[in-house]
Amino acid sequence: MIGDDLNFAQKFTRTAADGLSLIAEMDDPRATGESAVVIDMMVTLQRGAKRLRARHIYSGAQNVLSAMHHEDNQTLSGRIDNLGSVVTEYARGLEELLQVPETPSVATPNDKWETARETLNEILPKAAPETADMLSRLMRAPVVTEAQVPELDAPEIKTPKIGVSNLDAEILPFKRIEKPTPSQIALADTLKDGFNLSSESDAQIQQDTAPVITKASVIDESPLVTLDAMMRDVVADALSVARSVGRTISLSYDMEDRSTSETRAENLRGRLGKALSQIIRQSLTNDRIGHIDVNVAGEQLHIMTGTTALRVAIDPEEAPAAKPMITKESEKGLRAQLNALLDPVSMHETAS
Amino acid sequence: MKTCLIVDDSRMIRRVAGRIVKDLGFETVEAINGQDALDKCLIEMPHAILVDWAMPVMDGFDFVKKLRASPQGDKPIVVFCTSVRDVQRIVEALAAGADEYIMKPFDSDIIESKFALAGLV
Amino acid sequence: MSADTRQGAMSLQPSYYDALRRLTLELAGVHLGDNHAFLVETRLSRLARGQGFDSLEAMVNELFMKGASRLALQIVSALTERDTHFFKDETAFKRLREIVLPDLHRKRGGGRVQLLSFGCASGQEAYGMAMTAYDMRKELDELKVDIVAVDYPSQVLERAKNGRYTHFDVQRGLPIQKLITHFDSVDSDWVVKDHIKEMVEFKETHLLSKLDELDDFHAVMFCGSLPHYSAPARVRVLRGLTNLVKDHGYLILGEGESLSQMNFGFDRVDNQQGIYIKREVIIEPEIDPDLKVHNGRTSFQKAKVIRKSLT
Repeated sequence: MIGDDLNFAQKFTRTAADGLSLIAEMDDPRATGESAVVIDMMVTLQRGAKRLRARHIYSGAQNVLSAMHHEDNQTLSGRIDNLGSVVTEYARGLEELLQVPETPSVATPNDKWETARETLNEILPKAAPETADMLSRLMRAPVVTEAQVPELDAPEIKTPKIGVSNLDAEILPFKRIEKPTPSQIALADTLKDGFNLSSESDAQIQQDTAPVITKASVIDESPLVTLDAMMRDVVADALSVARSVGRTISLSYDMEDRSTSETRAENLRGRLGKALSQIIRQSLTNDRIGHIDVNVAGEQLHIMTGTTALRVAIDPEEAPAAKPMITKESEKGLRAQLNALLDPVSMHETAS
Repeated sequence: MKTCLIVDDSRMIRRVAGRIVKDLGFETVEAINGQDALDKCLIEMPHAILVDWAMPVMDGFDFVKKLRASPQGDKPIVVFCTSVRDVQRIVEALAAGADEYIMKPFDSDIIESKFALAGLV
Repeated sequence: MSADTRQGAMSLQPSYYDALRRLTLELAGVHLGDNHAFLVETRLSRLARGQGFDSLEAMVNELFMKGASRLALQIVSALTERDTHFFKDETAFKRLREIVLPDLHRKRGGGRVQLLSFGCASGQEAYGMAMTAYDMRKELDELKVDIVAVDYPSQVLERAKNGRYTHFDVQRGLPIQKLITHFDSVDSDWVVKDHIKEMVEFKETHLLSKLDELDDFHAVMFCGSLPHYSAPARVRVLRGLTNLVKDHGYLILGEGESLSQMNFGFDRVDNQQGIYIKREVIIEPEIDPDLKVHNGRTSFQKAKVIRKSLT
């Protein structure tokens, strides 16, 4: 029943993505012989969208059909791209839906400590020195449990670089997320201009030492857009490029909920697109490329690939505007976890 | 593995249909018109043929007639895949030797269903 | 979530979603999943718009506060609507063609037989039954087949009555020969021809509780729905269906479905799972203890003398 719809939705999005990528490659979708095919594809999309009650895909296909008959090439091309983005977004929503949610387990004191540590771990690197100082004091309570020993000497553990007074108690080590191994790469001159290239050996993991970019004094008054929204278009473009050269790639990104101005986003999109396109087309072959990840690291955007670990650092001209670290939504949960840390009963229970 | 010959002068149709047919477990071969398809059938007769009607050089209708008249030509399952919806033309296509008939536009469900009806999957 | 749900689809609060899940279970006996809220929203948004509600919440409020039973059925119908196509269950239709119709013809010779498509959705199953019977008309010589198709009231049922299907609908499951024999091409759609349409009558009914309003049938086809019912609903619906099948009549279930431990007076046909024949029920007449029944004697010979003491 609903499962049938999900099954159909998966096939539908796959076929739709294929068809749209081919249409996007056409020199002239209105050419004799091509136009009937494009129209047929839009009708098929509408039919599938109607069945799935996907209104935006339906209307997106309608817009393309309308543009085929009444609009210029640029409008038609834009509407085809928009439809592609909507289909990609739908496919992403479907993937989320098909993921099996983890069964929530009862939180033990260990769990609570871990949750608190992970929460603070995410916040501390972004914290201003005085805030970080305050947050780190909260971690002063001894947290060694019977089951856990802090692995201060383990090479994979990295202590966050924050302005901590030497008088503070020991900062607990936080777990570090493993990054793919980078390797050397030589890129075209166009990419080097304004970018921060790092050349690394295959075996090493480079520490993040990207310079902090100072904010420009020019005030950009265009509206804010989230980097997530920008990345959706970047991903769609990259997938289209990959298909056109017969490469199979997967992409992921983490923009840490950041936003930037519309103008800057447009600029970033173009530069990211060029970098990804070059990576996909020239620098990697089918047996080398696997996964491409784009993420925010400090004030830079990093592109990393899973198998070859290419890293191209893109310095935006101005730093993206960061969202406040502690919002109204996160404050409540954070206070609860901080209270748990300061709870004399739980401290007694976990003291070694 | 079974093979399917996809005969259409549109590259996009060949690609989209090819993807659907590959998902059904077939190896695909492409031909751009009826004559090209006949040549390819002489090299190796496929298990299934998905054929358009209107094509330059030789159209699908003539191709099917010539195929059925050729040695081993009765073996492949032939499925027309065309924009032609006229009932009389459909009757003619079946009389010429087609096993099934798909009217464009099609989606993956339609191809899968028609292949199942024809005993291919 | 997808763009479609973020931008413009109405949305349901979790409490409403839970209430709708309970309603669907009670009315239709069908479980909705834990994480299908987004699909539920898109299905009901369309119904809400069609019914003239400003929001999904407004429609659900109307449902729960005013107890609008017809709206409840329409909502449940929208939620339990499933994808179907012509001749979806090949095994069931094969049994209809090879076992049921020939046997009914053999037993009855001529006359009329009534078949039921239970839970007919968009009508493809019912029209499929009609096409099967029509294509066998020479073999079923003199046997007239009528089909009744029932389901909850819904927009889908209304479309089924029209017998009009899209270009996509008629190419799934329907052999091309049957398409050109039994359908007319009208604009870009295909419409069932009169010789098929007049064999089928569509009726709205509550599938779990209003079956006594229906006649009884020589064969009932009930395919593809049984696995979606909760266990109690399964018992309820099968019990209801049992009363609809005439003695020696047939119950055809879907591929892989069975009555399992419950048989309600049916026997398997040729030991096959999924097709059953109803046993004849012999009802012993009730004996009225006050009713005097002649004992067959015609004289007082051998009569026993019973002396009663009155003291």
